[in-house]
Order: sequence, then structure tokens, then C-alpha cells
Amino acid sequence: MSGQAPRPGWAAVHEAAVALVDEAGARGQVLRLVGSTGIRLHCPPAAAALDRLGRPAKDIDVVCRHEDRKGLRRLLEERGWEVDRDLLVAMEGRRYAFRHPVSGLELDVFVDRLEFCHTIELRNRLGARDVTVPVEDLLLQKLQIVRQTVTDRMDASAVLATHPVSEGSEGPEAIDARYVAGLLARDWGFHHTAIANLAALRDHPEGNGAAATVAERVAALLAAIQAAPKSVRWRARARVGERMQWWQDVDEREAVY
Amino acid sequence: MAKQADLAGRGVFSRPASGLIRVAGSADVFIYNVGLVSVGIAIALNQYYGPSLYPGAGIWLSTLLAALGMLAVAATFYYWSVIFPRSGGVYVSLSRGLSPGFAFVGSLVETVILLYYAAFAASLIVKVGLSSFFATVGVVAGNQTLLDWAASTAEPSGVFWIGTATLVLAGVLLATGTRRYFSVQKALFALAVAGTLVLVAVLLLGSRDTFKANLTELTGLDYAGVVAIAKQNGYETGSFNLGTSIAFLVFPLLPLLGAVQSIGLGGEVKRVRRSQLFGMLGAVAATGLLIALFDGLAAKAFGYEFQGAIGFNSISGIADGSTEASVGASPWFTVLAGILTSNVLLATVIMATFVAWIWFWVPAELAYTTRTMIAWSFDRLAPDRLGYVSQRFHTPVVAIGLSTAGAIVFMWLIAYRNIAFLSLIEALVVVWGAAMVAAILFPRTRRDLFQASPVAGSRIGGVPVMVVTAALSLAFFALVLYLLWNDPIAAGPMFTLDHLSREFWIVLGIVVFGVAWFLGTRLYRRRQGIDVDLAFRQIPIE
Repeated sequence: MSGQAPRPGWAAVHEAAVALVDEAGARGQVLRLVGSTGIRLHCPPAAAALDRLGRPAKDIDVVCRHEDRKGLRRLLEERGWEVDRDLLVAMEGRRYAFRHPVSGLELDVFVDRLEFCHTIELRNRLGARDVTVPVEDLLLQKLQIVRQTVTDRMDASAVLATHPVSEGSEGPEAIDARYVAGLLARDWGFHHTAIANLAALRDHPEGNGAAATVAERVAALLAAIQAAPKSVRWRARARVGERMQWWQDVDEREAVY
Repeated sequence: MAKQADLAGRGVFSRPASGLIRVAGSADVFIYNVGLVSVGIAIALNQYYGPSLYPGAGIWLSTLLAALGMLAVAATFYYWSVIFPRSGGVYVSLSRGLSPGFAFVGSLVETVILLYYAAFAASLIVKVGLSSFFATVGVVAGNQTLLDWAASTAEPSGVFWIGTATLVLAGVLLATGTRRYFSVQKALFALAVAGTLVLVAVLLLGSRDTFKANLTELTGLDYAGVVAIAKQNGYETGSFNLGTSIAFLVFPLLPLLGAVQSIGLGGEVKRVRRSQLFGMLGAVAATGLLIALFDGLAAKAFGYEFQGAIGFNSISGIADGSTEASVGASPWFTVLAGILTSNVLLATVIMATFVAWIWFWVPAELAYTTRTMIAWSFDRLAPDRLGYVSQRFHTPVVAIGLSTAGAIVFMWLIAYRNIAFLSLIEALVVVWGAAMVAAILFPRTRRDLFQASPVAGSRIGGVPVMVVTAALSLAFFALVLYLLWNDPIAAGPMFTLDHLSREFWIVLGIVVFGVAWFLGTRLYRRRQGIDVDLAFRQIPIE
């Protein structure tokens, strides 16, 4: 688009993202990073690999609590961010988009949850880690995509390559398989998408030099997911299977008005 | 420069980024459109005015002809909503496809007309819905309190305050969010459909003899006597007449025009091609068939001649041949159905069902006009404030409030001045007709946009299907305009060389205001360094 500032580099994205989380925190607001920026911040060893593979710096995606929306918007506007009016009307408080006219950065703010092909509730997990949402949710955000792109697979591989899979909360740097399996055991559609994506990661690893590690961790995750007892709703939906669409349609973000 | 870039960049196909979950699915679009048709209003108007004022008209045929014409309109609006999947109604297609100035003025006219119809629907909730509800249930149950309520709600103050409360309720519902609005509509739709099935069963199982006996018992009217009184006062029954059937099609057309109004929500619709196709064409077909079916059911249960006679007596003010004196309500279809059942529970279900059907019209019209206003605001043709989103409710409360307030003004005029702006519909037909002209020209005048759109491949013999459906729609609208213009019962001419109607002055006033506003705003924005015309130059997909 003409008239836009050039796309900022990763360093600028990193700096702005962390500063934003800190500033919001200083005002009592809980803000956590998600998306590829969250993954790069959470997986520093993977960031270099992603750079080598040409994974470009992305916009900033954050999640906030619904009670923090007003204060957060005030903070952002004080810092020169301009709200996307179109999305403001269209999303009715469930999501916001901002753009910084000087830096050229774009910021997506999600409220309480991530709603894409599948929904990931984050409200009760926002305070669990500093700066980003927990690593399981960073991974789930990539696993919920029905038609993954190469960059989505690269991000998911980066998380798996840099974090071991555990059978419980064994610290912030391990992927809690029980949490992932428990969540997927309640939602057949999400389960169906996630295991397909995990299988693809195992069978067609992205070239980050850790294919064996990723495959081993995917296998551990799949085993946990398979072993988890499924809810009645999950079993009922499983009987219908793919005869009915199992994901929400996600459109390109175009002007609504 | 940032503002300029923003305007230029807000093209239909611009700025792909993180995905967006849109609010309205196929079912929501279908229900929105069916709600705007308001099956209750359609049946009530058909059966009250058809046999009485257009004797010989095949009401079912008029309805099906209107639906057939609306299928072409629906197909064209469907193509528009695929090319421009944005909210804002015909303003979006006219501004990008024909002329921004005409689009603004035309959509301003459309907005005022639709606000009138929102108020009109709210008044029908009171008159046809609640008043008849209390009257019928009161008569069937022998309850004087309900009969008193029926009389008081039909008073101008009753119509105004209950109608205003209905409009405010619709505005509040929209202000709480589109998702909640669609959820409420879904629940009400299920109830309305269930109630309609009950009504179908009542009409199918109820006999003419039962109706005659109940009519005498509950109202004191004699079935044959009602017909005789009407004939004595000039009512002429006629055998089936094709010309009269065509003339009457403007009555079922009025509600059926609603079946395509999901074009106003274009940007909020998921899988726009599937949802709008099903939502628009499905709504026209389903409601057209349902409304036509009720003509057959009504004829079976009450008799065509009787419906005509009692309607004629009611409209002519012949008290001893109608239900006003005994029941306290006009012989709307629902009142007759209530008499047929002679059962408090069934009568309650039937009347409540019709109130629900009429209700759908109110918030849906307000939603449509609200989105047009927001589209003006985002195109910088209206103040930014119009698109203001409340930080508390997260909805465009200013636009919703303005729409509601506008409808309340019309509510006052309807209740206290007994004003019926019948020929306003002619202006609406002209505006929508312009959208058809734009559709015919669009593949040539905006070739780049058309070729880049998903509908470019839909052709018949090399001609875009959109052009074919638009041409058919234009011919249909021309027929409708002719019928309305030459029928003083349905509308009458908006103006003649000898007489300029109130509706003419209203439309002229809106047009003059709209032209002045558009030119003034463009000049004002230019002084701000903003070229509003950039907003209308959509960026084709690369």
C-alpha cells in the first residue's frame, strides 16, 4: 500500500512488543504476546533459526482481559497508535487492530481468547507466564489452523524444537501434554485439526535442523492426546466426523464497511 | 497523508492479515431476510386487502409473481454482495459502481424510507399484533380486561408508546451487539416457525362450518349476513382475473422486498457466496411459497368471498358487517384464525406467532440503516461521530440511536397524524432500480474490478449473469413502479402535473439536502486535505 512506512525489522518489533507488555503491566493491565512474535520471544534459540530460514518479522499480536480493554486502548492511543475504526465496529469489543503511523508497526489485540479456526480460551492463563502466554497456547495457536502455511509450520516446529514435552507442569519451559490433551479431549473439531497438523509436522518436518527432536516430541504429544479420556460431547461429535464442517471459517481481514 | 493512505487502502481486497471470524452464517442471513419479509405482515395484508379491494385476484398467484420478480432482484443483490462484501447496503454498490453522489443521495432516501417502514412495522405490532391479540383472546376467553386492553392499545397514544417501546427495544438489542441480536432472532425464529406450524394445522383441520358457528357465537356475526351486507354496500365478488392478480402483486411485494436486505450486512457474513446465495434466494423462495400457501389455507377455512366481504366492511366502516364492534379489532387474518380455534391456548399461540413475525422487521430495518450510516461515516461523507463505537457497549451507539430516533419520529406521525406514506415505496423502487442499472453497466465501466471479482466467470452466452438478472430486475421494477403509480389503493402517483403529494415533498427535501450535504462535505474534506473520492476507487485483487 502506498503511503505506509516500511515494514519494521524484528528488533523493532521485539522492542515495541516487550515495552508494550511492560507498560500495560505497570498500569495493572494483563497483556501477553501470542503469534509468531510471542513464539520468537519465547523461543530465543529458535529465533535465529527462523531468521536463517527467512521467516520475516511479523506484526504484534497480544491478548488482554476484557476489563482491560478501555485502559489498554487509552495507553495505545497515548503512545500514538491509531485504532482501525472498521474493525472496531465490526468486532464489537472482541478484537482490535492498531497501527503506528511512525514505526509502521501493526498490532492485533485479542480479548480473553483467540478465535480463529478453533477457539483457545486464554483468560485464565494470561497471568501464568511473563511477556507471552504459556508455551502450550503458543503451540495450540499454530495447531488450530486448518490450512497451515509454511510459516505456521515453521513456528510450530520452533516451539517443539525448543521445548520438551512433559506429563505435567514441570516448569515454564516444558509443554504440558496433559493440558493440551485435556483441552483437545473436550473439542473433537480442534482435536481433529490439531492431530492432523502434528502428524504433518512429524512426517514433513520443516528444515530447522531438529527434525528428530520435533518428531519425538510430536509422538509424545500424540500419545498423550490419544490417551486422554474424551468428553461425551467429543464422542458425540466424533460420530458425525468430517461429514460436518469442524472448524470456523476464517476470512481475510478486509474492510467490513 | 496518513488519512489519504487509509482511504485508498481500505479497498475491498486490501490489507490481508490475521484472519477474521465474521458474525453471520448462512442461517443468520436467511433468518435476517425472512424476518425482514415478516411473513405475518405479508399474510395479514394479503388476506385483508386482497379479496376485499381486488376481488378476483388470485392472492397466491400475485404472491408467486412478486416472488418471481424478487428472485431476479435477489440474484443481482447476491452478485453485488460477492463483488463488494461490505456492509452498507446499496450505498456500497452504487458508490463504487455508479456515482458516489447519487449513491449518497439515493441511500439517504432509502434510509429515511426504511426508517418509516421500521415505524410502520412497530405500529403493526400494536394494531395487527397486540390489539388483535388482546381482542381475540379476550373474546375467546370471555375476558373483559383483555378486551379493554385491546381498545386502549389501538388508541393513538397506545400505538405511539407501545410502538416507541418496540423501536427502543430493537435499538437496545442492536446496541448489545450483533451476535446477541442474531442469537435472539434465531430463538424467536424457531418459536415463530413452530407457531406457524400450529396455525397451518389449525387451518387444515378446522372446517368452514366450525368457523361459521364460532363466528356467530363469539362475535354475533352471521357468516352469510356479512357477505350480504358487503354486497348491499357495493362489494362485488369476481371470478379469478389475471390482470387483477398482477395489479395486486405490489402488496405481497412490499414485505418480499425485505428478503434481499442482507446486502446491508455484506461485510459481516461468513462464506459470503454460500451464505448470501442461500440467504437471499432461499428467503425469497421460502417466504413466497409460505405466504402463497396461506392464501389457500385461508380460502379453505374462511372462504375467499367471506374474507373479501368482511375486509370490505371493515375498510368501509360498516360496523354490523365486521369484527370491530364485537371483538374490538379489525378482521385481520389472525383474528379470523383465533375465532376458528375458539380455544384460548391456540388463539394465544397464533397471535403471539404473528407478533413475533412482525417484530423481526423492526430491528432488521434499524440494523440495515445503521450500517448505511456507518459506511457514510467511514467514507468521510458523514461525521466521524456517526461511526463512534461506545467503549462500554462496543457497538456504534450513535448510528443506532439516530436510526431509532428517526423511526420514533415516524412513529409519532403514524400514531397521531395517521399518516401513511404509501407512495414512498416508489422512491425505494427507483433507488434499487438504480442499483440494477449500475449492475448492468458495471462489467464495462469498472472492468478491472469486475474481472477481479469472483463473479466474473458466471456468464450465459458470454454475457455476465449479473447483467441478465439486473436487466430482468429492472424490467420488474418498471412494472412495479407502473402498478404503484396507477393504483391509488396501493400507493398512487407521487406527483402529477396538478398535484404534488406529501411523499413528493419529503423525497424532494431529502434529495436537496443530500446533494447539498454531499457537495459541502466533499469541499470541507478537501480543505482538510482529504480527497473523499479515493474511497470509491476500489483496489482490484492482484
